[in-house]
Amino acid sequence: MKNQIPKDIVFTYFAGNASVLQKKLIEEWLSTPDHAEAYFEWLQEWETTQPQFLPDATQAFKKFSKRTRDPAAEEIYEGGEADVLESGPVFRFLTRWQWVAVIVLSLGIASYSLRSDFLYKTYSTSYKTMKTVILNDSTKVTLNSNSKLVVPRWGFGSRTREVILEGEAEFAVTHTIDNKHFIVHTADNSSVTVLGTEFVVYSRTRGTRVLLNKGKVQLASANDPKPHEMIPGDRAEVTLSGVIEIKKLTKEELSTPSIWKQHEFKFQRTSLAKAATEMKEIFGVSIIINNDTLAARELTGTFKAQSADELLIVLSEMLDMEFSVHDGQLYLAPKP
Amino acid sequence: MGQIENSSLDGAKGPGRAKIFMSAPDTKSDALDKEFFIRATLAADPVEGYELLFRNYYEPLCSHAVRFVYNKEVAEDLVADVFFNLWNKKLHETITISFRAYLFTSVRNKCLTYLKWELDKQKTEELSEDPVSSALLPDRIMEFDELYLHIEKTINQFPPQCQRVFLMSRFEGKSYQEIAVGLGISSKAVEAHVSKGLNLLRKALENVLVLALTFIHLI
Repeated sequence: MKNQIPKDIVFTYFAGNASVLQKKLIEEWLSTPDHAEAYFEWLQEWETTQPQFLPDATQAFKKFSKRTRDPAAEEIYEGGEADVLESGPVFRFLTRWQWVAVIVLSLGIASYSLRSDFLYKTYSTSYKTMKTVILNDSTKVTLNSNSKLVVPRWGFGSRTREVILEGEAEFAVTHTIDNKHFIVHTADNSSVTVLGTEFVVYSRTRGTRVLLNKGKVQLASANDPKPHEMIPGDRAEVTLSGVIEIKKLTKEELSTPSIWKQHEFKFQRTSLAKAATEMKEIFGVSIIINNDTLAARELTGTFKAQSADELLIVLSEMLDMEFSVHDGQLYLAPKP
Repeated sequence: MGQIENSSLDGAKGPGRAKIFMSAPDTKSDALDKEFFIRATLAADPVEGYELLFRNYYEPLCSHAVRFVYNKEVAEDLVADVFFNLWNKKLHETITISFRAYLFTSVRNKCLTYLKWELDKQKTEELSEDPVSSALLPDRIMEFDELYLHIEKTINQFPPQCQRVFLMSRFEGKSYQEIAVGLGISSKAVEAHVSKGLNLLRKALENVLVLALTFIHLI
């Protein structure tokens, strides 16, 4: 009766390279029940030295603690177990929650609907505010004014790293150990896919603009789904018709990063009313001009501004007007 | 690691020459001794004890599970469920085999149930088999080894693009859209590849799965 067996043979067996004779040896060896313990010890060692992937045990334990501390939540979990066997394997993380959530979330993800509070968390800024959000995966998102970021409430970071952006935001995306892509979807159905990098996305009614600072990014649009790759220093525009154009940032823009965050307005005898419409498209801010004469005043020149405020301050000087904010709307009026 | 054993030529107990074996423990109690620290901690503070269990066993268990289900998310879920079950039923107070043996066996059983459900779309009762009694049976053990090796071989033999898509979808958990965009193919093509992969797996495992489960119910 073979008492000992070299570890090497068992490792060879685990790897699927054992000969028929070696397998017989192992079978005999295992017939002594106590040897099974040794088998498992070696299995553990083998798995540790050749892991198929690297899950995070610390995170897993945290989730486990939460689960054990909250028996009420556990009921949902138990119910979820039954659901595992009914619904498909594709969105497995959903099956932890009631079947209602299964259906809603699949529809939600498919259509990127922003309607569900239950499934998504929304961060938004109003005119004049900026907000910095840190997501579960430590990605930092800085929202400019009048912008909205929608993040899946559950599963973000572990299942998926996809968000929806309306407006403007600067992203500093973390690189995850399993190289999970981070994807920003915009209202015009473009998507920006990254591994871990810094970039800015502008998405207003005029279309989407992406500026890349560090790393690598893939850009796709509804009409142009084949991903276009961007490298640092690239600037991409997605026109209203969904066409993607990638250009290089100018030297000036590269050396002064804040410059490429500025929007450029070129006015050629443009009425203030028209300028206001343009500002709405670019800054997302609604401007009301109650005075007809003022609205008809013409502007000429090139203006660069990062925000509506900046531009209006300049214009106010030129046109001798003042602006005020009520209920999220901007009002322009001639100075008394 | 080694142990010193007193033995004499005729096998009788008593003082004799000391031999040093450089080998794995060949008695069950030795295996349990290795987990002595874990057991002691569990007795004093179950939460800390479980943290130790996670630290020691979570990763190898997940790595092992993924060889069966080829899906990182699912692997982690199954392993987490096993730990949770252990906790809920307070088995840490009563089991006589090592935690390692129990955990690996439970995870294997769970993987098998999962595969059966996924490939056969059949709702199977959680295997009524008690991991504790069957963990140390050689037939059961080797059968599982055959299973994961067979799965690996089958997937290795997938046509290249099918394999690529299948792994991106299952193992990495990417959405069809992401894969389509990443590889420059249509979503429909992605879906077709995944389907094909599942069918190939189903065919390769149909006999194995039926046999394995029959065997279990016979015990």
